[in-house]
Amino acid sequence: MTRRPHQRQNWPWHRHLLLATLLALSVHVLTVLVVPRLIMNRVIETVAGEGARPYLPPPIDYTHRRVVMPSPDLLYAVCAYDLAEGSLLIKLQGTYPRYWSIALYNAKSDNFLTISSDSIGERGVDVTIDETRSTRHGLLLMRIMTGANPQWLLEAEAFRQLLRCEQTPKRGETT
Amino acid sequence: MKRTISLALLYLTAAAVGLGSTWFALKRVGLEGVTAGAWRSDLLAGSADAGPYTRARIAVNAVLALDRSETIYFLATHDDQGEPLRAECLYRLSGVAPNTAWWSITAYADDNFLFPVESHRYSISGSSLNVIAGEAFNASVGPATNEANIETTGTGALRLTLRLYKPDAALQQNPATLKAPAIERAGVCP
Repeated sequence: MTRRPHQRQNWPWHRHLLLATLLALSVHVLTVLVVPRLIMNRVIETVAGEGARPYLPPPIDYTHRRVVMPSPDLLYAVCAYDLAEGSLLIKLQGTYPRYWSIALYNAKSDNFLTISSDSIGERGVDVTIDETRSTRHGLLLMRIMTGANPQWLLEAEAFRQLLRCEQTPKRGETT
Repeated sequence: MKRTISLALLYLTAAAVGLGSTWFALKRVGLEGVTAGAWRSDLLAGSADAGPYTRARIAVNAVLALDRSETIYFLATHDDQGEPLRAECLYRLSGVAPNTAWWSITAYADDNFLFPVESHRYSISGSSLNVIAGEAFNASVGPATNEANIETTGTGALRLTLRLYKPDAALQQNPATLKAPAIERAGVCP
């Protein structure tokens, strides 16, 4: 008996099982690879303010449910940036007598640069981030130790107000 | 028609298995890295050298972690006897304050967020206990009725995170040498 040209022969089940196994593996691997970017995108969207201007969240308590594992002993400041809008200039002139740090994360959630109290001293921060150092989208996270101490919290609040995140227009662009 | 439905079910199941195995790998498989007592640390947290699984696990469980040169994070989900930590139980924490610029221990619920406690007793640190590096400390974690230093509410899993900011060179080089705080259950757990 000959098969008509338009009649498609069904694949045997073992081929479908093999393909299904490959599909399960592909979904697993792709999800593992994509998850950090998806989570970082969500974090960046959550804290993105006007341009790169710092977002200053209130002191951490149990109502804070934006980012997992928040530390209640730290006061944070966040700048979300898009380098398509120009390089990011980070400036901070001032001192704080306890631990603080400024950490930069790329879109894959890698911490590619950290500046902290002991490495800066009283010099202040003046750093430029461009596309040779970071992915296009990224996040700056400043941590200031308060130890949940009310007086330290006041000092930390004044200190984080000094943080500047500015974007310079790319060469050839006008403002 | 019957074959088409069976095939659709087969491929949907395959996709679900792919997603389910990812969830299991990221949420239920423990971190790699070093252990100190009941505590475990993944030294590649936040690092650009992290492999895809470590990066994804950190993104899901502790996004925005700092690189090991800045901070070492230790996580405990079990007590010193190997029993899972539970929010409804009282635990004693004891040890020696580590040699770091600053350290803290914070309690998180199973969803990795703080417990809803009105007292705001979420954590302890060297400054809250008034101890300096090398000094012994004692503290407690448990339900508010026990007046614990760190309070929990409800039932379910309890996760403790030890943050070591600017650890000294020896600890940074070999975090397994940490004199990890002991975690012991106190009294009968309901």
